[in-house]
Amino acid sequence: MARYLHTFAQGIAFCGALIAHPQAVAAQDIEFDPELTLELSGFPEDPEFADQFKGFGGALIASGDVSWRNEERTLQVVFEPYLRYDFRDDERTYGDVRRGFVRYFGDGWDITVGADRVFWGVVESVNIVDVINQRDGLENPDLDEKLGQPMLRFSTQTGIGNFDLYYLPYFRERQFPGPDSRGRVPFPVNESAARFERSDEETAGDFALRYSNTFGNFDVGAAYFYGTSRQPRLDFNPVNGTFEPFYQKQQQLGLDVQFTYDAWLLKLEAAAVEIGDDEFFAAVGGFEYTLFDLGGSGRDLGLIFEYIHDGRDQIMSPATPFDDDIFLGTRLTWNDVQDTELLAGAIVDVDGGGSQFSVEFQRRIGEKNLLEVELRAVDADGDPLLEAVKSDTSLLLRWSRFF
Amino acid sequence: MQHVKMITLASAIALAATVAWPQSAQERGFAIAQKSDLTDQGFGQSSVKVTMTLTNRSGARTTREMQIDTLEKSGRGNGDKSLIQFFSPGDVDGTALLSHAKITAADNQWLFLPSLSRVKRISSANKSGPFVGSEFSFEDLTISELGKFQYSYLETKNVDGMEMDILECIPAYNRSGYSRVLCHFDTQTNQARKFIFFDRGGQKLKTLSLTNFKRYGSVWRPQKQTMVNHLTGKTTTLDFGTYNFNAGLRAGDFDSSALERL
Repeated sequence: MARYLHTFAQGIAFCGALIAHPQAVAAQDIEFDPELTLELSGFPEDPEFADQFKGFGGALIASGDVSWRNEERTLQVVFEPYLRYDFRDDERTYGDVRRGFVRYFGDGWDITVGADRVFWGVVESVNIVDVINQRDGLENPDLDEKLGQPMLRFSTQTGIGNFDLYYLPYFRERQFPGPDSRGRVPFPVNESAARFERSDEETAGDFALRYSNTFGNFDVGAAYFYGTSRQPRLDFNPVNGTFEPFYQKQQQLGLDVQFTYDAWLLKLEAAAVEIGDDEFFAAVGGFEYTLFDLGGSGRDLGLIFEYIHDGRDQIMSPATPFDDDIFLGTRLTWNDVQDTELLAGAIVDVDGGGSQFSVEFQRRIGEKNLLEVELRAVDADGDPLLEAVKSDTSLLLRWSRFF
Repeated sequence: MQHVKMITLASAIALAATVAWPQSAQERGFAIAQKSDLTDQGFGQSSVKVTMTLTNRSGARTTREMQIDTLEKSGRGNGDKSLIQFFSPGDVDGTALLSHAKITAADNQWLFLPSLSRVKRISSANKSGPFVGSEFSFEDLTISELGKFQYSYLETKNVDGMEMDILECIPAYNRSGYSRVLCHFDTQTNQARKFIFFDRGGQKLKTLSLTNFKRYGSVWRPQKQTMVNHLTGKTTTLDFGTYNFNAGLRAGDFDSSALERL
C-alpha cells in the first residue's frame, strides 16, 4: 500500500491547491465525470492450478475524473482516481491515481507536475516504444491499462517539431494477481521480495526525451529512455516455490512512424534496447486498412496486420511471448447512434509457439450506460509462458454507468 | 499583327468594364459562392458549444454535447482547422477529433482516445460516412468552404419567405457521397441557408437548413442547423451556443501534440 502513498500525496497536493486559491476556482468551471462499472467474468474450464477459483469472478469499479481549467487557459488541474473491489481475489482489490497533476501552459510550452498517463506508439498489438508508465497487471491480461506515473514533464512546440522532456522521480512496481486468480503466471509472485538492479531502487529516477512531428502524410516520433524496466524479470525461488521480481536497468532508443494515405495506415515501431546486460533490437510493423461504408451499410471494416519481432534473451531479460509473432485483427464499426464496435484479434507465434485470441464487443445502452463483452482464449501449444493460462478461456461482461 | 491583338484585347477589356457582359452560369455561380465566402473572411478563430440531437423515425431522441474550436484557413487549398471535443455521452467524454481540412483532398485528421491517452492519426478518405452516428457526414460540416464545388447558377426565387440564389453545386472531391447539391444563398446577406443533397444515384437524400442567424460583428452564424434524411426519416439538429471569437486559441492548440493535453 505504501507505494500508492506517493501518488495519493499528489492528489492531496492538488486538493490543497484548490483550497489555497478558492477565488481562482469557479465551481461551474470544474468538470466532474464519475463512472461505476460492474464486471463479471466466467471461466468454463477447470483451473490449471489447485488454488485458482472455479466458475465466476467479479468486480466493482469506481472511477472518473475531476478537471478544471482557468479562464485564461494557462492552468489545468486533473484528478482521476481508480478503485477496484474484486469479489474473488483480495490482491486485485486496489486503488490508483491514474492521473493527478497540475499543468501550466506558457506560450508554445507547458510543464506538468504530478501523475499522468502517456502513450507513445502507432501499432495496435504491442507498443514496444511505449515505456513511461507501469502497466496495470491487475486489471486485465492485455496490460493495456496503466498506473499513473509521477513525473515532471516539460513540453515545447517549436518550428522543427515537438520536444518532451521527462523526469520520473518515483518507480511503481508491477502488481500481480494473487494465487487464487485466473490468468496468472505459474507460480505465486512474491512482490515483497522484489529486487532492483539500480541501488536507489524506486527512487533512482528515470529520464526520457521525445521528439515528434508531422511531415505531410508521415507522423514521426523518436524517444530515448534511461531508467528502470517497467517489466520485471521473474526469478524462480526454488525454496519458497515463488517468483521474485527483478527490476533491471533499461536504456532504449525508440522510433515510431505512421504513413497515412487514403484508407491505408502503414505503421512501424522499432527500438534498440538494453535491459541489464542484454542488448537487443525489437520492431513491430504492419498496416491497417479500412473498407469504408461496407456494401452501402454505413459500417466500416478495418483490417489490421502486424508482425512482431523481439530479439531479447528470454533468460537474461524479462521474458515475452511476443518474440516472433503475427497479429491479425479486424475492427467493425457500425457508425450508429450507439457507437457499436466489434474487435477481433489473434496473435500467432510464427515458429510454432502458442496463440492468443480475443473478441471484444461494445455498445452504448441508452445515453448513460456502456456494455462491453470480451471473449479470450489461448492455445498454448507448448509455449511455457502460455501453458499456465491455457485453461483460462474467459467470457467477460462489463456494464458501466456514467453520471 | 502583335499590335492588332493588343488593341482587340484592350477594347475587349474596355467593353467588359462598361457593358454588362453576359456572364456564364458557372461564373455567376462562383461569384455568388465567393461573395458568401467573403462575408466570413477574417473571423480568425471561434469556439462554440454545440448540442447535437439525433431523432429517429419513431421520434426517439439522443443528444451529444460537444465543443467546436475553429482556426481560420490560411493559404490556398487549405480549409479551416477544427478541433471537436465531445463531453457526452459519458463513454465518449474526452474524445477529440482534430482536422486540418483540405478543400479537394483528404483532410489530415487525428483522434484522441482518452482512456488510453492515445493520439491516433486516422484515415479521412471517407468524408461521406456518418459523423458520430448522425445524419451529418464529415463533408457536411465544412459545406460552406469555397472551392469544394463547381458552382453553376440556376435561378433566383423565393424560398422559405426569402429571396434566394440557387446554385447547382457539383462536388470537386471525387470521394464525395453526393452527385450534386442544390445550394441556396439569400440575396440580402449572402449567407448559405439551405442545401439539398442528391446521392450518387441522383436520388434526393438529405436537406440541411441553416436558421436562427445571429450577427457577430462582421460575420453571421446560424445558431441552428437541421439535417433531414429523406430516405430514413431521421433528423439531426445542431444547436449552437454563443460563439466566442476571442477564445485565446493559438495555432499550437490545433497541433496533434495538443490533443493529449486538452
